Formats: sequence, structure tokens, C-alpha cells
Amino acid sequence: MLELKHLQVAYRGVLALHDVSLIVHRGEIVTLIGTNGTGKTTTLKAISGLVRATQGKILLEGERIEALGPDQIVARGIAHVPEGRRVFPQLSVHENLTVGAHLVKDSKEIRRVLDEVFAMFPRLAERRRQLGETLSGGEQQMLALGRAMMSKPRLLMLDEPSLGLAPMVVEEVAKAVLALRKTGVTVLLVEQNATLALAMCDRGYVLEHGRVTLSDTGTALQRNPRVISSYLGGGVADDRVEVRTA
Amino acid sequence: MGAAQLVELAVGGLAIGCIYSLIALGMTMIIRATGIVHFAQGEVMMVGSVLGLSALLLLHLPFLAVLLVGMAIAGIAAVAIELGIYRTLRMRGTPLANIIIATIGVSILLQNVVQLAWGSEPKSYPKLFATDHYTFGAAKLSPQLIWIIVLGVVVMLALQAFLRWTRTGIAMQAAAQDPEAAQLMGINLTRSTAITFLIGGVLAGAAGVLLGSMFFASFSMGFLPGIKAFVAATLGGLGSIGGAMVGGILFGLLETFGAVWISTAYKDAIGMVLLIVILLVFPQGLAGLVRRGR
Repeated sequence: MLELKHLQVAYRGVLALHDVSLIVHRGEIVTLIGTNGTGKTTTLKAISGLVRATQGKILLEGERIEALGPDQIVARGIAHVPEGRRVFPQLSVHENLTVGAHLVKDSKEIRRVLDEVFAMFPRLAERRRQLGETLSGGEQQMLALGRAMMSKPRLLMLDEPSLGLAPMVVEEVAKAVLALRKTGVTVLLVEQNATLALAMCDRGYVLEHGRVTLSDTGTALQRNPRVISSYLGGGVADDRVEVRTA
Repeated sequence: MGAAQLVELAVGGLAIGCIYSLIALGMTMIIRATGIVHFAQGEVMMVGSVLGLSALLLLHLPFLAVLLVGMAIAGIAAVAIELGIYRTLRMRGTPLANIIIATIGVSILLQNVVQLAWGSEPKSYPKLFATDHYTFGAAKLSPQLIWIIVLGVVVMLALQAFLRWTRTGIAMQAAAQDPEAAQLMGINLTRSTAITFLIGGVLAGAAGVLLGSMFFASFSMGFLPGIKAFVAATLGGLGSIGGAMVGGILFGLLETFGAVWISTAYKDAIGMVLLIVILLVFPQGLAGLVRRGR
């Protein structure tokens, strides 16, 4: 469904992504893990058109999209839930969701999807008149997810959905993502919480210093010693070993 | 001072205040959407006023049509400036401070172009309203001032309704609050910013025709009201829509009563003193005070 071929991104001449190639098949949950500053967010921003690829291709269903603007990419069925939720603070929950459906013209359709979102997150229905900034972190994440659903995406990209949330809320968000997948939505998930990401995904890619260094199924990555030591809390001692061998 | 005179002054202050509010609203919307302090907003108003008057003289339109023509022309002018100048500068990565300085350049440019094309002489608007006064108790109220207040308030309410209840309006608010997230919703920023300038220009055009009908139209008529509207927007709390409306009206009243109670000679200075006081004492403006009170 989505394919990145040797994607390279530079900010003001400094390379943020050196060479990222990956594939997401229809119906999959694919995760991108890696430490801070390795280019996970940049990869998502390049796909959604917020930053320009300096080299390489981005293919959606075989069509090149790397030169399109963000609004055209949303129109093609990619929704991006950005890091830090980025809920519109001075708009109500209901207005936030309406803005999510900006490109959907049929008002009946909007109402139908809105009901789906409220069914999935009843808390949002209770707070529909409240301003975005008055919601808790977990509620904001639900709103950001619901807002992305409003554009009826084929591919949903999530950037650090668990960041700063209590464990119980993380579980709730994870359940929502899995439920969305059941409705036929493909998911590309970026996470620092690799334990969670690998447990949820079908396949995963490890990103280091702007390059894909490893890719495998989620279960295989969970057992991979390098992944265990670097991303699954394998301990400081192992890190030191890796530095020495590197 | 008698009660009648007080009422008459208040109506005059409200009328000029509505005009400041209309200009200040456009400035506020532009600041929210782009961060640009649009010092040429007074000149956009002037363009609406001057060309509105031309339309009136050439086509003998009724007043309401003149108002609409002035609004349309000022709106188109504002969009042209945004797309032709400010957007180009933004795309080149020009720092915001430089773009704000460019707005001063645009202000001077518009004055000179209109002066060349339209002449330096102020031209007065023909009598647009019945000249009989409305009497309210002992106070004699000019129908013109009442109309300005009514039309100003109608335009401002229409803006509020647009921003609150239409999809485009809500999308514009979203784009102003978080441009990047708005793009991820499929909002086209170029379009949304152009619409912001269009609406700001339309409001300024309305102010221009209304102000012209009070006094006259000329190439230099926009400068002082533009600065005063900026003071009004600051008074209301820069970037607050409600603040710009209240700030403009309050400023009009302060200026009018200040002129009577202190001196007409200092009428314009009063506003500038007010600006300095606001910036020193409560830079967040009225909106800041309300927020702190909550």
C-alpha cells in the first residue's frame, strides 16, 4: 500500500534521514522504533508532505506522492496523528472533529463517522462542548485519533501515541488502534515504547541515525538480542557492550 | 455637561469606535493566522473608501451598494497584497520582523499610488442619509452615526457567526491555532490565509466607506485610523477577536470624551499615550485581564 524507496530528507542542508526504505501492506500494523532523534518523526512528516524529501520516492498504491502538498495527501487517504496530539486548543471537541472531516463534503457521511468516533470514545461524546485545551492527556490523544478517523483514512500514521500517558490510558489507546485495524485501516506506528509497539505490530523496522538497520516481524524483533538490549530495557551493561563492539 | 450632550457624544464615540473595531478585527485575524502585524490595514480601508466613492460618483449607486463595492474592492486588494507580496516573502523564508516592516512599505506604496491615480484633494461623500435628527429625549442624534453603529455591529456579528458556525470559519480558526496540525487535516494554508486577508480587507472596506461618509475620502485618510486600530487591538489584547471589537469601541469612546474633557488639540495624542500605558501596565490587554480573572 505504502512504499518508501531510499528516502532522504535534509533540514537546511543537514541530513535528518539518510536512507529509509520500507513497505506497509494493506491491513497491516507496521511499527517504526528507534531512540530520540533518529528520524522517526521526520519519516512520517515526509510521508504526509510536511517536509520535502530531498531524494527518494514515496509511493501510495504505486503512485508517487512525494511532491504533493499535505492537503492533497490527506485527500488520498493518509491521516497523520502528530506527536504531542496537537489538538486545536481553542476549539471544542466537536469542532476539532469537524475540522478532521475538512475534506469530506457529504454532511450525512460526516455525521455517520462522527457517531462511529463517539461510539469508540464515549468520553469524547460527553465532552463534546469542552475546549480541546481543557481535556486530559489521554482524552486529547483520543480526540487526536478520532479527528484523524474523521477523514476516513486508508492509512493511519501515529506518532508516539503513548507519550506521557498513564499505563491504563495507553492500554485504552492501544485497544482503539487495534479496533481500527479491524475496520480495515492500515496503521504505521512510531513509538519510543518499543515493548508496546512490538506487541501490537505485525512487522517492525528499527531506525538508527536516519537509516533502517533492521526489519522483521514483530515477534522476531521481540526475540532479537540487539533489539532487546537497545530498545526493550536490556540494561545499561548491554549498552556498554554494544558501544565497544561498534 | 448635560445628559443630552453626553448621549450625543457617546453615540459619536460609538460610531467612530465601530470603525476602529472593524479595522482592528482584520489586523487581529491576520496576526492570529500569520503573526504579521499588518500596518497597511488602514490603507486597505482607504482603498475601499476611495474606490467606493468613485463607484458612487460614477454609477450613482445607493448607499448599501456603495458599502458592498467598497468591501469587495478592499477585500480583493488585501488578497492581492497577501498573495503577491507577503506570501512570496514567507516562501523565501523571510523573517517575520522583515515582513512586518514590508507592511509599512505597502502602506506607503498604497498611499502614493492612490495619490497619483486619484489625486491629493480630499473628496467628500455626498449626503447619504436623511439630515433630520432623531430625537432621543433632549438629545439630537444624527441618523448617519446611528447607521454607522448599526451597520458596524451587523458586520461584526456576521463575522462572529461565520467564524463560529461555518466549516470554513472553524477551519480558519484551526489554521490560526496550529498551522501544521491544520495542514494534516487537509486544510490548504495558502487558501486559508488568503481567506483571512479577504475577510480582513472586507471589514476594512466597510470601515472605509463608513468613515468616508462621516468626513471625506483621501489618500492619507487611512494612516491615523490604522495606527489607532492597532492601539485598539492592543487594548483588547493582541490576537483576541472579542478584544478587538471591544477595544475599538472603547478607544472610540475614550478618544471622543478625551477630546472634549481634555482638549481637541490632543485628540490624537491621547491614543498614543494610551498605547504606551497599555504596553507598560497590562500588555495582555483586556483579553488578558479577563483570562486572569477567570
